[in-house]
Amino acid sequence: MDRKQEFLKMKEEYQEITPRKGDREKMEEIIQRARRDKEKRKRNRVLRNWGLAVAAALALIILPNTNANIAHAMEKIPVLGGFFRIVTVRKYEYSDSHNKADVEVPKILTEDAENTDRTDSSEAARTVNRSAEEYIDRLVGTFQKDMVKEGYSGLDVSHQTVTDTDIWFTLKITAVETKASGYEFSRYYNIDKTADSVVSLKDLFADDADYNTALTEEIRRQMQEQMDADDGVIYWLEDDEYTEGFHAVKENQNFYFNEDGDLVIVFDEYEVAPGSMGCPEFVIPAEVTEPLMAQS
Amino acid sequence: MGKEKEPAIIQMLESNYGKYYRMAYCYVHNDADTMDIVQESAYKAIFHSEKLMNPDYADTWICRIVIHESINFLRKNGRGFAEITENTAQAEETYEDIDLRNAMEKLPVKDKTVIVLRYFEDMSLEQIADILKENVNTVKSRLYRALGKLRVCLDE
Repeated sequence: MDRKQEFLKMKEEYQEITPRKGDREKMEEIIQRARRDKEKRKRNRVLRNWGLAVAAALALIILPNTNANIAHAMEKIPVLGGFFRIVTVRKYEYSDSHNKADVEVPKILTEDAENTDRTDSSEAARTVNRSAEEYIDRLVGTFQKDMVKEGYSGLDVSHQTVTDTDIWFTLKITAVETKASGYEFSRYYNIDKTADSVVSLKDLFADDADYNTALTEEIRRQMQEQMDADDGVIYWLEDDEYTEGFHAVKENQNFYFNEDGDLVIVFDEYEVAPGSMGCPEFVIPAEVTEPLMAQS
Repeated sequence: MGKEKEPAIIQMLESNYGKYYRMAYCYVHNDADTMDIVQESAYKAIFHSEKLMNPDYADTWICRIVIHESINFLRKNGRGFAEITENTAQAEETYEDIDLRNAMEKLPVKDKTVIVLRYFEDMSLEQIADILKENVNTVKSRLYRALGKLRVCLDE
């Protein structure tokens, strides 16, 4: 058989390659899953952008109050060592044959270590309470607006104390929206008890520190390490023409400090990885964060 | 416009499923890996469908993703000789004394891709250039060089 005949035979064989039985059904599943995940990611973006807008509005509301309260605040004993606890102040429950909501609105109560009868002494806690309530009200508003007559729509909002140390108090609000499948996203509120302030990611670092690059590189490194160690782990790290990889930590990226005092960066579902990866968290070692932190 | 992309991709995935399967298969030569690659490609094509500029190019775009995923798979699994870049020493080599099947496997992955697309899938040089995002002349010279290495003369 000469080269050309051999080549044509290979072509024949190539054209006879056919998928196994059942593969086509699996493809259908994949197509549906991709569509759902895409829809969720879109919703995620909308929520995030809109989260920023809320924060900005909130800042505007608070500013006038701050001035009036300065004198008052000066008299106060620092909240250091103060006692923080979370109570549920309001519940929203709704249920019909297609829609179900189970929502709790939390409130941080603070008690000065020495004056246990005085509550709400922390300005930061009040700020968080207002912001959390507004955020949850909006989630409920969206749920009410999007109620369905067929299928299923659910909203579940819960809260949790993530960290409570001498320095940090972190409240986490978790929302799970359910349409065809569930989608979980969270918001973390971090209070620095020593300064009685609500802290965002950039507040942790010195003004001129390029913390974003440092955090991003460290997270990318950890993502790669995990993927190398385990085939089942997938992050959207690659940056090619059709995959949007993880490029940078967002300004309002969720974070908290764990019990060891290390910074933990948190992502929502579908933010940097497929839904199977859940809400990924990355512990940033002190060697990375310390050189960037503001001297205090 | 944005709305039409996803249906166009899904339609292509459904009607050209066999083609995408064959394309991936010729890189990895087994059903399980092929299925993984095709599924991953389908997922990415839909998930990132807004990156497709023109719904008319849905097929081209999916082909590109399938090839990209196949090569990535080979690279991850330490196969395919990682001959992604041009190697001049290699370019001189021919595989006259080994059978054609082996010679195909020894080809740099990009050379193999143009052979498969041109002769097995009967695509035009223009289509191949679109898929690989290269210009037609580059594809053409790559094709003839690859044929030379295989010692195959095809009268066209």
